[in-house]
Amino acid sequence: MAINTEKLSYILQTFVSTTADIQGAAIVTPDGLPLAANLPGGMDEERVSAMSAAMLSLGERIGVELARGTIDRIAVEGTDGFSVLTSCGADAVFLVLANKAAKQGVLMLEIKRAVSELKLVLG
Amino acid sequence: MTVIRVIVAGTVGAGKSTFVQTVGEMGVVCTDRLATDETALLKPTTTVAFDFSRVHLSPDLSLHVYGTPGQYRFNFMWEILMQQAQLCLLLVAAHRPQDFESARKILAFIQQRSASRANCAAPLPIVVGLTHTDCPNVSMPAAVMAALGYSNPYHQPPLVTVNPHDKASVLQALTVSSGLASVS
Repeated sequence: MAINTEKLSYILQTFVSTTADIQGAAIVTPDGLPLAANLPGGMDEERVSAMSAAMLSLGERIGVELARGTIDRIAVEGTDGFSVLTSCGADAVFLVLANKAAKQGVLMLEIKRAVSELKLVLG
Repeated sequence: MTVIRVIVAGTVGAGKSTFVQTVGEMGVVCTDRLATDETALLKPTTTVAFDFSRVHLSPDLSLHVYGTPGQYRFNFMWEILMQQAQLCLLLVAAHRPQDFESARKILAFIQQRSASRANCAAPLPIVVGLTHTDCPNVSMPAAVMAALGYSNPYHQPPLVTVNPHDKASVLQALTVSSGLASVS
């Protein structure tokens, strides 16, 4: 069955606009191509996708080489906010950008919900 | 012990990952993912972060070899890796003239960005490595250099022919290239 990209975009749009403190989200292929994205202005979809793929693959490599097991998520915490990468099935990676005010517990829960919703569409 | 950090750049399918794997003396780090773009027509998987391996060329010279992704969207990885590099080996598949333009773009990007590296005044020395020279319809080295923008034969980087599958050939290319590294 073909992937419904409109539905993916719709889920991302709803996720970004209805969740407090979330500034952007993207769903990309493991080789770094965008499937759907809803990102703050000035961020290039292709570049963001490639970065997400590179980061996740390095994280997974660390998981294997340094015996940390399967990687659930990778989070980058900066002075201006969070960037969280979550694997979303075998064929996709989910990236979420949140501002500094975001509560981590809420953020992780929201991501978990979005991932299960996205997985249904990805099949 | 001197360590020279080499980045292996080049277009998709030039043989960068194979090169790094062949170098591999003690474990190779690779970050291959299933390809879903036009890369998939050439090969099933593609590098998304970097490949890494190392080799001792002599008792007091060690090379750390970093293979980069080939697609332009990963140019941030080229930038990160070139920060600490002392040498760049640009692999070009001699039998795919349609890729020479992308190779020229990669070269331009590396030359431009390496000139403004924070910790190093000199631009990154570049060596061109021709691969796939055993395939039919290969371009002549001079034609490849011209396509890369080096029209003057007296002003062009060194050229080596390399078979990324063959350990002797890979080591030979690295030995020749390492003489040019800007070791500080």
